[in-house]
Amino acid sequence: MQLLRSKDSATQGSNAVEVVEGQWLVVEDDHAATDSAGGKGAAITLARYLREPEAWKPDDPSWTVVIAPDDDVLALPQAVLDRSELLIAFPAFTDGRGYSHATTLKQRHRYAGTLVAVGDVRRDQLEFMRETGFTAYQITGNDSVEDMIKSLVELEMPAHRLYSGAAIDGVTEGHAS
Amino acid sequence: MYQYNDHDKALLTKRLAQFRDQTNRYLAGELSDDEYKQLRLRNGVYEQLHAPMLRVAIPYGMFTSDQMRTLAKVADDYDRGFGHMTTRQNLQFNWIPLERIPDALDELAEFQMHAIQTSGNCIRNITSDPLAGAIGDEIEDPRPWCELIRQWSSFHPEFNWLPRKFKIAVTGARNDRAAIEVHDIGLRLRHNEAGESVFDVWVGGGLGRTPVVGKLLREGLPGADLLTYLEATLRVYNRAGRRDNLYKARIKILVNALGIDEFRSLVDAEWQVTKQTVRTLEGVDIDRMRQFFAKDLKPQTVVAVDPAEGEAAPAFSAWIKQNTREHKVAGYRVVMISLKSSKRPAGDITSTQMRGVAELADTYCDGDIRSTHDQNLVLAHVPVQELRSLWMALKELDLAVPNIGTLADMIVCPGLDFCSLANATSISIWDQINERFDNLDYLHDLGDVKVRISGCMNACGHHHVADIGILGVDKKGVEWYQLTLGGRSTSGARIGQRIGRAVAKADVAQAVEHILEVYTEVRIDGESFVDTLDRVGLEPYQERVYATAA
Repeated sequence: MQLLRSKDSATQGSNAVEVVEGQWLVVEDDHAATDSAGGKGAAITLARYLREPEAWKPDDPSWTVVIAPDDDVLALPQAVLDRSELLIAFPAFTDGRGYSHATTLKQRHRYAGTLVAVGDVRRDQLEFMRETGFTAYQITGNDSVEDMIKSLVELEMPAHRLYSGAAIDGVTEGHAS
Repeated sequence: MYQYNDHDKALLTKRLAQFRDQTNRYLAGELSDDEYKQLRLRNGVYEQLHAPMLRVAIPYGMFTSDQMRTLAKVADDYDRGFGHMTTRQNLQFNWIPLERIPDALDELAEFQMHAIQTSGNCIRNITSDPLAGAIGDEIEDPRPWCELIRQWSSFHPEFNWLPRKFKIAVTGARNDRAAIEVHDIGLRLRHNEAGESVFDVWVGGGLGRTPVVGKLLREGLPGADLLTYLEATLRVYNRAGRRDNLYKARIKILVNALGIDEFRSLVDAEWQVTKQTVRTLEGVDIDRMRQFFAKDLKPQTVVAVDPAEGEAAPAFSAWIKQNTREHKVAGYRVVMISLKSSKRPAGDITSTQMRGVAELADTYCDGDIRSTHDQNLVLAHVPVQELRSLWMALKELDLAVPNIGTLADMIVCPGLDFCSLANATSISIWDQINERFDNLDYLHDLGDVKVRISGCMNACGHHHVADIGILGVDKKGVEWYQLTLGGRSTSGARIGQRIGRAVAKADVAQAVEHILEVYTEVRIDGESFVDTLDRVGLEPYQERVYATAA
């Protein structure tokens, strides 16, 4: 589990949560897709990728795609699914489509890479994100890194979720306790 | 009755700590109003006209005498000594100071109660038949399945931020007492030819601004696939439901926009995935759950009701006839406790009454209490030889008015007296109608005529599915009331037709009286209100109502 923080913040992680220096730069459609801040790279919109797929090289790790709530996650190109990290955007924390996008990626597409939550990512939503398959969260400043770690560690729901949220890997659980 | 295991307790403890922390952060100014609003809603806390409202979940309307006493304690210690039963079989408090709500929730949690997902755009409390396990027309007890759905939907990580609220109802009886056809998802539990438990699944019903009767999504869904199929349906809705317009965000709008066939094919495609990833219910799951609800009642030798002697005899007989139902086991009756005394707003119950009901439930019904979606209570298994003493005790508590199923058994939303959404008062109309129709003999003669009142088009009073629906509207600061006729929430649900222009507040009871005059004049041999309306049409009713009101 990772928290992606910007380079100027200085918080350490914990045993359960790794704080990674460097974030994805989410670029608008009409902006240059270069990450000058020295982060993880550029995250382009799905629309942009679909418009110019040949511009994005499969062996170049410095780009990925950010999936927006309106995007059709049922029809993602293989090249997008081959990215080792994919971003899912939460423009507002009340827009829950990102959770279903995550389960669709994990369950339907069997996406094995890292799902990164970006946008309005708040400490009170982390438990739901984790349970739908996210393992990385890009910090945007609503909450401090310390508070995010606290939420991730302290508010983890009991492991035995029998009837919901427990079967991300496509494995149904065992019997009732 | 389901009992929490360690897992349930751990979940609840975590959630209480989380909400207390959220409330503290809000009170300390660390959380904005907008953000806290969404978090408190998911814990049953609304901001109403006068004070915060706390809506406590009563899962599928089942609770115990101990839980009722706890509710009474919360009513006394945190509120103003009363609570209000809702149409989702929940109980709400109207006057608890925000900073005290976490403490009230801690007290409730000690007796396995909470307010989680009783509001907000998530899966709400599952509702069901309040007579489950007791009534003869039942094919199978729906409560074990309700509990499975409750566990699946509580804190479901994917569906906590849906486009809009989501309501599920389940019936297992031939007569639908859970209004499944006007729910986001309605489930009819029955047995297939092989005797296996299967569900007919209805989708996209609902009231509110756009009242719609649900459509049949799937017939004969195997019980084992209940959760895999619900998960698929919710995922399709979460992905595709509209979020640009609050009033077009319910699943009914999506189902209507796509058409039921297209919607079904999207669900079926998703179902292929969820069958692999969500638990398919095995026999052990449902058998384990059934044990919680099993009730081994031995048939009694005394099966006749002991008539009261002397002056009380007619009143007791009227109560037996009106407020009790035949039980599936000989020697028992189902007792409906009317919360429709004209001395209080419909559905209100005082802490004294709560304690009284708890005591009576312990004495006569093994502590088993149910709430109904029409805002009453039920003691489901009362031995017939105890009916008379129960009746006398209920009378002392003002809980024995023999008006169940009559016109006086109205569903009434809190309206402008409490609710910040309301356009008009509901309780004053309830009072007005009660004053006008205070003759019980007349009500009994009238038969089963449902009157329901909503103070705004959100329709919490379910007026669309009443024989006579009353909707409060605001016209330039003045309260007016729109009347609809011929709605129904049972099998073959239908939305009432508007009779004509709205009537003035002072004229509502008069208009209802005119409608009833026409009904009693033209009905043939005990014909129902809806059947009579279908035969004669709206016109006679319109003529009578507007001849005088004009």
